[in-house]
Amino acid sequence: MNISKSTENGQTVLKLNGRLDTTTAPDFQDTLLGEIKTGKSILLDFSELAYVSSAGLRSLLTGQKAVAAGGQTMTLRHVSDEIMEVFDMTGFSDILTIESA
Amino acid sequence: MDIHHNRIPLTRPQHQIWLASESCPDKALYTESVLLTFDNAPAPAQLDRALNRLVQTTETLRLRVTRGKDGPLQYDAGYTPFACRVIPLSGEEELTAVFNEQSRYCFDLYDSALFNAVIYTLPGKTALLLRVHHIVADSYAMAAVYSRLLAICAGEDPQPFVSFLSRAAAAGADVEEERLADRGFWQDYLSGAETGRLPHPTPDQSGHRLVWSSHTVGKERSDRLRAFAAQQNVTPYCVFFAAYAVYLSRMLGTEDVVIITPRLNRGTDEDRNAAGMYTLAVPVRLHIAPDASFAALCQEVQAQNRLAAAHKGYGLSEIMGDLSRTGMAGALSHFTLSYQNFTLPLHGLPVRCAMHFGGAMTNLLTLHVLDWSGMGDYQFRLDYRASYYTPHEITQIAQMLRAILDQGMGDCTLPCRSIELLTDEDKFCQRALLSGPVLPVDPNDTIITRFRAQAALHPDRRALSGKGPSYTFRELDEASDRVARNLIAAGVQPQSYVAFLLPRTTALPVMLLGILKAGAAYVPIDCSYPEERIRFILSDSKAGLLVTEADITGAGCPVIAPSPLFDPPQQPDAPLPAVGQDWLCYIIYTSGTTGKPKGVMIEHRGIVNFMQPDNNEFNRDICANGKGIVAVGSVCFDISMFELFSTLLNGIPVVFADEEGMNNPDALAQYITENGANILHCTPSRLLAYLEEPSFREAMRSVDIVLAAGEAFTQPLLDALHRATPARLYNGYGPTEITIGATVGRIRERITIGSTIAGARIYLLDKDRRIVPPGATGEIAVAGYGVARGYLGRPDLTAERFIELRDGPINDRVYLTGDYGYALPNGSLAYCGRNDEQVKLRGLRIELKEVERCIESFPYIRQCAALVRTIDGREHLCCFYSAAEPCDVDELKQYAGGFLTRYMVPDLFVYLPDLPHTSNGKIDKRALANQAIHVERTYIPPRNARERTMCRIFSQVLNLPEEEIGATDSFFDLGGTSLQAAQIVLLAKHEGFELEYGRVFDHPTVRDLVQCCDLDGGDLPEPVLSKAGSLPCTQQEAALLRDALCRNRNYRKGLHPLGTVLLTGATGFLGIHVLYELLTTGYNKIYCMVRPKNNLTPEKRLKGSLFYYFENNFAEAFGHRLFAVDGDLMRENIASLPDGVKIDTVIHCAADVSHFGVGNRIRQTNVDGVRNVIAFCKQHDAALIHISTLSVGGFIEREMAEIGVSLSEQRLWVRQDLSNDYLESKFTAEKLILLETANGLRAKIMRVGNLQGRITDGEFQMNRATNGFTKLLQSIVRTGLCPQSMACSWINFSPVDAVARAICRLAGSAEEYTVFHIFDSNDLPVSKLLTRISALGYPVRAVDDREFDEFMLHAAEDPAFNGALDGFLTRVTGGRHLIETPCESGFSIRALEQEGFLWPEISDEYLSAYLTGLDTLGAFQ
Repeated sequence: MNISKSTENGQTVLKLNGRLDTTTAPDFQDTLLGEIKTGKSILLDFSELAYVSSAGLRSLLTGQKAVAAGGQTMTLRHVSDEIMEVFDMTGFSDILTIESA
Repeated sequence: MDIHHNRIPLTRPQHQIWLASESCPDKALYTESVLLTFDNAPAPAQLDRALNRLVQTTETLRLRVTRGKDGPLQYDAGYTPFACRVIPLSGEEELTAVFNEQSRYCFDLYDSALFNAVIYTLPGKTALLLRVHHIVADSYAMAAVYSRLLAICAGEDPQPFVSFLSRAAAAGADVEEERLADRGFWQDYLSGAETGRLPHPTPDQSGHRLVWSSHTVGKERSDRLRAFAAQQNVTPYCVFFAAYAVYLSRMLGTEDVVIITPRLNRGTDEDRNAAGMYTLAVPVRLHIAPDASFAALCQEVQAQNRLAAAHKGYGLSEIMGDLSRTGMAGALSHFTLSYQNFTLPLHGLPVRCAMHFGGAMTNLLTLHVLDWSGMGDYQFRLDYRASYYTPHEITQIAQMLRAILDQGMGDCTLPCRSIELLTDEDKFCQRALLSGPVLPVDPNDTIITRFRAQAALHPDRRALSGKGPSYTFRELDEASDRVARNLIAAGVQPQSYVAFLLPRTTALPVMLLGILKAGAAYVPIDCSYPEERIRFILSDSKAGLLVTEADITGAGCPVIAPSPLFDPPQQPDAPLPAVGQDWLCYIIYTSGTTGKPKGVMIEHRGIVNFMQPDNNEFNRDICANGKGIVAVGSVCFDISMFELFSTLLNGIPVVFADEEGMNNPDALAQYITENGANILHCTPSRLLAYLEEPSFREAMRSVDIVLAAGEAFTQPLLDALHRATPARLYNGYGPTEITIGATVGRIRERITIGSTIAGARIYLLDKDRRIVPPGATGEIAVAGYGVARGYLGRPDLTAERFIELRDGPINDRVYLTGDYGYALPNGSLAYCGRNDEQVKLRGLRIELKEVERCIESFPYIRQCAALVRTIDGREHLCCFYSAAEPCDVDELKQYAGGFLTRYMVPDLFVYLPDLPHTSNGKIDKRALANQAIHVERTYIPPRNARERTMCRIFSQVLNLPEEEIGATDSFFDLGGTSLQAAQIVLLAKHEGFELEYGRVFDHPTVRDLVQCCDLDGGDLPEPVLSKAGSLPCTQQEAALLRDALCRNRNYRKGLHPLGTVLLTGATGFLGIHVLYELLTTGYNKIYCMVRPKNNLTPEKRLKGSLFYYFENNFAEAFGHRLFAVDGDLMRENIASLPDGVKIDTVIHCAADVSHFGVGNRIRQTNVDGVRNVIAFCKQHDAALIHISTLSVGGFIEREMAEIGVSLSEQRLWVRQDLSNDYLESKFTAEKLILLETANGLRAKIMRVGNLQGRITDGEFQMNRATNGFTKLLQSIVRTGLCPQSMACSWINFSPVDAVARAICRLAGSAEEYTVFHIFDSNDLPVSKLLTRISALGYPVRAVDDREFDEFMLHAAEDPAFNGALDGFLTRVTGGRHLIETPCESGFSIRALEQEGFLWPEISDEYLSAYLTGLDTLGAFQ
C-alpha cells in the first residue's frame, strides 16, 4: 500500500492506495499518529483504497481515538461502496467521520 | 473355522452390563479408560506395532456384540492390521485434559470394535490412551491385557490368554432352578431395606456426568489398617466397607445400609487366565447396630459379603428388576464400593498409569479403594454425580472416612454410634453456616420500651384502625396505659397471666398492650374455640383474670368485661411496673401430639430481637417501604404478634381486620384499598383461595410486600401471586416455640424458606442429637433469643423438646422442632417436612411434602394433600386435590411418574372442590383421613388381537377370568408377583412377542406391554403431552419426526464428497468461514447466494467480506470454483443460477438471529425461507445442510431437566417453552425439514452452539454489535462486576472456524443421519474468561447476586452507567421455573471423533487474542 501526503486548507491529507490489512496497517498507523501529533486535523482519502480488513479497522480506531484526545478531526472521504459496507456492518460508520459521496 | 460365525450368547456378567448400557445407550457408563504415559518417549510407530501385536494375540480386544434372535451375542471379529491415530499435544496439562474429556467417550455397542487406542505425542513423552467397553473386560482383565502390552513393548513374548469365548461357551446356560432359588434369596435378603434420606440434587445441574477425585489414606493409616484387618481376621476390604457403611448410615439417617459391590467371580485358573468380563456386582446389606463395635461391624461385613457372594449368580439387574416393582431398585443402588487391588507389572519400563472407570454414572457415589502398589498406601477414589455433590463435600467425605477408620480401629470397644464423623472445627463450620448474624439486643428493651419510643418519635401518626375507634401512636400509648392501670387496680400482679377472649375490634390490640404494660403475660383465646378447650386453657394456664364479654360458664377465674378497662383509671399517675426482658410476654396454646394443648411460654426478649429493624430482610423492607399492614392472623397464633409488633414497634400503622375481613376476601380487599396498606401477611392456603376472587386480586395490585408463612409456600401460590401482583414475596419458617420465626427470606425465582434471622442459630441433628454431616438431612433445632422458656406446667415435655445441645465444642440451648431440613451450600435451609409427614408405605419411606409439591406443579391443581389410607386391608397412597374440575387421573399419574419414583406416585386421586381447612387456615389432614373414598376400577377392553392375546396370557398366569383383565390394568395391581412376571415373558415369547423381563416392570399394563413390544427396536420415548403446551404437531407428524430422528445413533464412519455447493448466508460470520473451509480444503464448485445491496454486486460484497476476515479476496477462484449469485430466500426460486448448473448440496447458513424481532420478519426468514430452500433442494435433487442452533432446545422446566430430559440428536421436542419467536422459528424450520425427509429429502441439521472468535487469531464477527454475548462482555467490562451465579457457571464457546470445519466434514456423512450437534461439549468456565478480562486491564469482581441486584437498581439511574447495563438486561432467559434445556451430544461426539475431528483447546492465549480483538475494535467502549 502507498500513502501519499499533502496539505489542504491546513489539514493533512493522507491518500491511501491499495489494501489496508495486517501487513500495511502498522505503517499506516505510525504515519497517521505521527501526523496527528503535529496538531493538524486529518483527511483520509480512500478513493484508491480497495479493501479494508479487521486489522485495518483497528488502526483507524486508534487514529480516531488519538484525534479525539487532541481535539482534532479525522475525516474519511471517497469511501468505496465495498468499504462503506464494512463500516456499516461493523458500526464504524457511527464512530468515524465520513464525508458522504 | 470361520470365526465370524462362532457367535455365542453373552455370559451372565456380560448380560448385566448389556442390560444397564441398553438403558442408557448414549452415556459412557462403561467406558474403561487407561492412560499409559511413557517417560522414555517411544516412537509412535513402535507403540503402534506393539498394539497390533497385542490385538492380534488377544481375543478380548477383538470381541464384538451383535443382536441375535434370542438376545445379544458375541463373536471374535478377527484381527486386521490397523494404524493408531497419533495426536500431538503441548504437554502433560493438555494430556490430562484430553484424558478427562475422552473418558466420556461412548462406544457403539453393536457390531463395532469395543476397544480402541490413541497415541499422543508430547515433548519428551509418549502417551497411550486405551479404551475398552466393560462388557468385554473388567479391571482384572484390563490389568492383565495391558501388562501384556507392556511386556510386548519390553520385547518379551508373553504367554497367550485362555480364550474367553471358549470359557463362555463351556459355562453353558444357567440352571433355572438355581436362579429361581437365588431370586428367592434376594427377595428375602432385601425385603424391608431402608433407603434413608438421600442427598438432594442441586437444581442447577442435571445429568449423569461423573466427576472423580483422589484422596490419600496415608501410609501410617494404611499400615495400621492392614494390621487391624489381620488381627480381626478379615480382609482390608471389609474394614473399608465397614467405614463406608458407617458414613452412609450417618448420612442417610438409617441403621440399615445397602452397598453395591463388585465380586471378582473367577473360580478357576482358566478363568483367571482368560482376560474377559467376569465381575458380578451384588448388593450387600448391613445392619449397623449402634452399640456394636467397629471391629464387630467388620466381622459382620465379612459374613454378609460371603452370604451375598454365594448368590451372585442371580444378577444385580434382575434383583433390581424384581425390586423395581416397588420402585425401590434405584434407591438401593445408589452407593457402590469397589476394591481394586490389581497391579500392572511395568516390565521395567518407565511408565505411569492412570484410569477412568466410566465417564458417566447412574448411581450417586462410588468409593474405589485402590490398592495398586501391592503393599504400599491405599488411596480413595470417589466417583460422584456432579449434580449431587460438590468437590468440597467429597473432600469432606474422604476426611470422614479417615476419621471413622482412625476411631474404629483405635478403640476396639468403641460402639459405632460413638464414632465422631466431624471434627470440632467441622461442627463450628456447620453451625456458622446456618447461624443468623449477631445483632446486639439492648438488655433493657421490652415490647413496651420499644413501643413508647415509637410513640415519642411520631405521636400523631396513625397507629391502629379497623372496626372500632382509630388511634394515633400517642392515643394508643395513652389508652393502653389506662388499661394497664385499670388492670392493676383490678388486682393483676406483675408476671401473672391474663387471658382474653375478644372480638376483633381495635380494642383488642389496646388490651393486649395494656396487659403487657401491667407486667402480665397474656393468654389469647379464640372466640371459635369450643368451651371445653377454653376451660382447659384457663385452668391449665391458671390465668388470674379473663377479659371477655362472652358468657363462659365455669371459667375458674375472675371474669371482667373489656369496656370499663378503657375508662380513665382512678389513679392516673400510678406507676407501672418495670417489665424485665425475661418476663413472659404471652402464652400460646398449640396442639400437641398427645391431643392435649400445651402452653408455650414466650418472653419479651425473643420478640424484641425479632422486631429489630435490621433483624431480617423482611423487616428491612417494611421499615424502608411499609405504609401499613392489614392484620388478619388469629391472635391465638404467634404470626399475629408478627403482624402487630413488627409494624407498631417500627412506627408502621396496623389495620386490624375484623372477622369478616379475616374470612372474606372481598372484605379484606376493601380493608387493603381503603387504608392504603401495602403489607399483607396470610397463610399460603388462605392466600391461594383468596386469589381466586377478582376483587382481592385487584386489591393485591397495590400491595408491595407479602409474607406467606405458617405452612408450605407452594408453586401454584407463587404463580398466582406473580400473576396478581408485582409485590415482593416473603416466606419464613418457625414454630411457636422459637418465637414467630427462625428464618425469613424473600422469594425470587425459587421457593425457599429464607435464611436464619439475626440472633438465632440453627442446627441439623441426627437421632443421637449430633450435628449431621454436611449435606445430610437432619432434625432442625433452633437456638437463640427466641427460644421459649418452655411449656407451662409441663416440665416433662419441656425437657423433651428444649434441650442442652452438647456436641463436641457446641453447647447451646435448643428447641427440637420435629421438622427436617438440610443446608444448601449458600447457608440457607431447605425444609423437608415434619417427621410425621414422612410415612412408610409397604416399608418404603415417603416424604409426603415431596409428593404434594410434585402434584401441585401439575396445571389446574389448586391444592393437594397426600396421605396413606388403608382401604380394604390394603395401604394406598392417596392424594386429595382441589381444582376447578376433576383432572384426568391417568394424565396426572403419568405426569407425577416423570418426577417421582414409582412408589411415590399416589395410586388414588380424590377430587374435592375444596380441601377442608383448620381454623388457622392450614389443610386439615385429619378430616381428610376420614374422608370417604370410593374406589372403583374401570374395565377397558382390549382393542386389538395383540392386546387380547396379552390379556389371555395375564389371565393364564394370574389364574383370573380373562374378561376381568382390562387393557389398562396393572399386572401388579391384579396381584402379580415378580415370579409370575417371568412366566408372562415365557408365554409372551410363544405368542411371538419380543419381551424382556424388565419390561413387565416398566410397562405393567396389557396395553403398555403390547405397545412396547411393537415399538421395540426404535424405542424412543413417546412425546408426552406438555404442561407448557401440547406437542406442536399432529400425532402423525410426531411419528414421522421420530422416524427421522431415531436414525441418529451408532455412527458409522464414512464421508462422501459434497459436489457442487450452493451456500446461503455466505457473508455471515459462520457462512464465510464455511466458504473458507470449502475453498481451502475441497475441489468443489461453490455458488454463494448473496443479495445485491447499495449498488454492490453480489461478487463485490462477497469479496469485501472475504477480505475483511481473511485478507484475501480470492479473486483467482472467482469464475472458476467460486461464484457469487443473486438470490433471495423470500423468492420461490431462491437463487438465480446460470443454466445447466447442477447443485448437489445446499448449505443453508442464512438465518435471522435476532432473538427479539419486530413483526413476523424472523418467521419470514427462518420459516418461509426454509420452505423455499426445501423446495429448491427437491427441485434440484440436492442434499440440504441446514444450520440450526442448540437453542431449539429452548427452556424447559427445572424439574424436567432434573429427571434427565435433554436435547439430543434423537430429539427435537422436549416440551420446551417456545414462546420466544426466534426459538419458535428455528424449531419450526427443523420440524419442516425433518418431516420432509419422509418425502425423500436428504437433509442434515447442524445445531451449533455459541459461535465465537475463530481459533486461529480470535477474530470475531463483523457485526458484533448485534451479538448478545459481546454485549454481556461489554457490560461486565464497563461495570467491572459479574454476578456470582454467572461467574460460577460454564458457557459453551465454539470457535467459528472449528464449527465450520466440523460442519463441512459431517455434511458428507451417511444419508441416514439427520441431526448433529456441532459444538464442543467441554464448556468454558466463565471464571476463566473473567480472569482474561481482568488480565486485559479491566478488573472484574464477582459479587453476590443480591449485591448485584442492588447495584443494578442504583446503576440504572446513574448516568455514568448509561448503556453499560444492556448486556445484563437483554439476555434471553427462560423466566421463572425454566432453565436452559441441557444437551446430550454423544452421537455427534463419536461421529466427530471417528471422522478425525478434534475440538481445539480454548487456551488462555486464544481467549486473550479474542478479547483483545474485541477491545481494539472498540467493543467494550
